[in-house]
Amino acid sequence: MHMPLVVAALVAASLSAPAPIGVQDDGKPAVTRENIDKLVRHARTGSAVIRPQAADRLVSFGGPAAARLLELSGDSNADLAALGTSLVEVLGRFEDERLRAKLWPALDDSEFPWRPAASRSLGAAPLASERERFEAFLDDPIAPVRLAVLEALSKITEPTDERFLRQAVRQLSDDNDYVRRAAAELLDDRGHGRALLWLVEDLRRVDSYFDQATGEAARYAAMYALLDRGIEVEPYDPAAPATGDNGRAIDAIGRTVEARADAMEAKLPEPLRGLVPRELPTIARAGAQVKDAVLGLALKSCRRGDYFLRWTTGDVLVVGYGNPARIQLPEGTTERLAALSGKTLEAAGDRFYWGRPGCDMESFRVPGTKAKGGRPQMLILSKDEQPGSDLRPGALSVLGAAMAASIPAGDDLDAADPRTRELARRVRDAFASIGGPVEKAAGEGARR
Amino acid sequence: MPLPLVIFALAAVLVAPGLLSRTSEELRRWTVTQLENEEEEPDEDVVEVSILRLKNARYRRGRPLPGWVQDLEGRTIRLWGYMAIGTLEGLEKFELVPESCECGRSKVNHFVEVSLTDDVTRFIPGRITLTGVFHAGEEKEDGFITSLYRLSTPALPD
Repeated sequence: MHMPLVVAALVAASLSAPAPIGVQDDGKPAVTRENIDKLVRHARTGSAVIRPQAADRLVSFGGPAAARLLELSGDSNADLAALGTSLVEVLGRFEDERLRAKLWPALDDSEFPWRPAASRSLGAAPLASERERFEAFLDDPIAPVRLAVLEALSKITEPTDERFLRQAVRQLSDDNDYVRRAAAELLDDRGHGRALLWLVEDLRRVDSYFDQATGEAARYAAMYALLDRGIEVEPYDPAAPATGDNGRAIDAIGRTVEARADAMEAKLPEPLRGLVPRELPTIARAGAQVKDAVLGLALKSCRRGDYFLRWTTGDVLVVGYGNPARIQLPEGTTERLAALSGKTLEAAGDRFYWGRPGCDMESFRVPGTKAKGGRPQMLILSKDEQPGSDLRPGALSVLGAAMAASIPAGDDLDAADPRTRELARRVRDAFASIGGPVEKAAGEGARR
Repeated sequence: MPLPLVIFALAAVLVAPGLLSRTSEELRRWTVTQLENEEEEPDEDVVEVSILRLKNARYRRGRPLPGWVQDLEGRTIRLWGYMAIGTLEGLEKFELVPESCECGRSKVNHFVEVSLTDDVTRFIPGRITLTGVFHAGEEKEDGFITSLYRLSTPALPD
């Protein structure tokens, strides 16, 4: 694999030790233009771990830092994007209406590369007058944006605000488990403790996306969220299967949560009781492991959202993780795609990585012999925040186009599950946003 | 692993080159092999640690780490993770993260800084498992915390 030298140079420079920041007699950094600019530089080009810390430190500088960032943020969303995700993330914390006025157009712009950061920034100190603007993003295609606006709305509404409560209850059926857990915690904060049963269910999860331990991640997140709320989880062990003693421990936690919820609900005003459903929706239930997946496609787009697809030996398209949606495909679909993936591997030779380091990613998992232990071979394309895309090799585009073409469309499918609604179109859009339009590139790749 | 499964796994590996012209039955067998290879041999001297547990450990800047993390100090541990996207070739250190993409900004408790004592980095896509000596605690440069968890290991897996 050969990374572009320019990227190597940039990253190597960013990994070098940070330049010292001048301090006052009391040990705190002096609020000087020089120090502000040094922190801005660290927040833009420092290593991944230093960027957010430098941005945090700028917030403590207050007005002078806000004024400098206002200058640097320019007149367009492109100028704002050039600040980088860490600085966009903190602009809202200055509580400066001029910076806020720059963040809203960025969130409105589906091509802005740092929309999750912009939404969290706006949500850090939200204004009651912005309620409807936040509500407009509750169905955003990007889960971190949905999560940020839900939390923002919780800050600007009264504990008994029924409109917000119903919005939070709706997000208990979100297709992203982080959003579901956040909704459950916000509802619990307002006395609707039954929502914590969503977290208890996550303690049972065993799912994974190939080697990605999605269920284990959910178990740890749910367990610590319950602990933070003073709910005893001993002797539950998130590292062990949810059977036997561990299964009984989860049952006991469930009973504790239900008893606690009953007591909390009795204190709620009558009209607000029973808002949280007694039954968990299918999407929030722990699903079985998918053991027969042959090929996978994970698309992570900061502009178009994330997709996790698997094709099984039984010609089933598995959509998502947790308790995923399943679509039966025509017989032979998986075998045909697997054969095509073999040609993709041959064409790729020794390469398995393309593009520029960044958070947009296309990750293909295909049956191959190169990966250790017979695991699927990963072929990865990643992309930074820069617009434009001609990054995907032709062979990968041919496979991507065939995968997208295998996703059925139809009214029945659309009605069945939000995860499968217009899935083929959304997957193509995500491809286009990351490595470029897949069909066009596939056509060119086939001609080459 | 029981002997019949070992034999089956070996057989599956031997037929692997034929995967370029796969049949449904070959694909089915290949998925079974994948699952079997997830198992790691236990070692009593090595502490198995979940990178997800480290990520979720309650940490606040300047405060002591939880006791169970402190107890791992200097111990030989084994944990899985992913090389952070953007890891360059030829370096002695890299970030091991619990998800394959951490979007260019890392919280200090969301990665393990891995030092290779007899090797340099090459990018490996997919999950890797490493065994090495663990250290925990805030490491700082100019007031910035550069790492919280560190692992020293001789080399990357083959």
